[in-house]
Amino acid sequence: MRQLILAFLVLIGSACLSGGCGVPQSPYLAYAMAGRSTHADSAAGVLAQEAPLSPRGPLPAAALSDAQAPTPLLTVVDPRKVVYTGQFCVAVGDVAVSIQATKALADKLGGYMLRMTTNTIVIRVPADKFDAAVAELNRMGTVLNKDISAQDVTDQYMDLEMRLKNAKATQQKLLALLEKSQVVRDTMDIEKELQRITTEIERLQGQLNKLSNEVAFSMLTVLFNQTSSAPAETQVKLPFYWLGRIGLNELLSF
Amino acid sequence: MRHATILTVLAFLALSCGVLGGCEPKMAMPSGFVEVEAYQRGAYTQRAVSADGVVIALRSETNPKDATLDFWVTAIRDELVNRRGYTLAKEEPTEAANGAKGKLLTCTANRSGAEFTYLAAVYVMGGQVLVAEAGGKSEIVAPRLPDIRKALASLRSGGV
Repeated sequence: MRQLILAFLVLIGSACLSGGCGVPQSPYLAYAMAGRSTHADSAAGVLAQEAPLSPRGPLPAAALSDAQAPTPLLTVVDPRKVVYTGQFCVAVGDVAVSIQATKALADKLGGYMLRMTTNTIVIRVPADKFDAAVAELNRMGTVLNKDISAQDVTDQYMDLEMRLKNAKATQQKLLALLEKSQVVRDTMDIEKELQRITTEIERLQGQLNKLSNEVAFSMLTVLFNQTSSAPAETQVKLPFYWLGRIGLNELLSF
Repeated sequence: MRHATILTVLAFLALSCGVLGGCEPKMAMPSGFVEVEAYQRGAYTQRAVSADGVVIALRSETNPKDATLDFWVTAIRDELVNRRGYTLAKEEPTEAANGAKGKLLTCTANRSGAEFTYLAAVYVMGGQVLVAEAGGKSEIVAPRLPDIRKALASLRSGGV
């Protein structure tokens, strides 16, 4: 019994240290390989449950036994997880007013202001309102520079989800072992491992929450320039030279 | 014979207007404004200044065929607001002394921390586009605004 527990702990520890938690079946397979036949029956079930979440794609239906109905699991298709970010440089007549207008825009779209300086503002808006926010920013003035990017984090997201799921499963196994344990040293070893796996779960959950938030809310960074100090070179200049000379500068200069 | 004499006199007068430039578009400047010498006019056909630094000037440019008043108002508004960062305070119809319809744009702009007011009355007369401009520090322009607006609307094109 004690040897089995130790072998289990060593295998779990080495699997997690080597980053093997990303491979969902490894703790279970390792456990089964260690000769524990009592959980071997459930190993296939665990594999079937985790198969659709695998970043390498779902297991073929043939790999599953007939008894484990694969249909509802294999038809689950996660939408792509994409983090949208945008950076704008906009020439406007009044920087302060534009900063406030951008903040109000974030509020209106259900987002919020993240950071603000005298000429820069960083806002986050719900991902489904990203296009609307970009369209509004385009209307605020002359866009001198625009950089919009989309980062597909589906694999990263799914990997985190799987590692979290495995860690939670391991935690349950350890709890079960703890109940059965009768030797003090075994109990201490299991508790130590439980503590470690609990910390790992919290860390993974934190990462997953952060990533989910990044997917749910797109970030927009806007740098505003005063129009007069930033000629709008991207704008078509009409072929009437005198238009460029009307205004206060020439009028008030002798 | 008598008709021929009259025609000759009229032709002579018309020629004089063209040669001497006496029939150029002109505004009636408000009191307190002094018209500057030709060499100080720069690109303007007429330019006057008050002692406290308000300037009124008239710009006269060739109007290409088919360029309407709306065309120039849009172009000037775009230049001032979108390129220069002026704030358009008001846009209203105006009428020159000769009856020509125009548009008066009133803008504000910040320069070195001070607010300036700039007015541009745009008219299309014959083959010319005329822009009557006025500007200065807002605090100085404000009390003179009625006089300035009157001056910008006093425009008469040559020979009219």
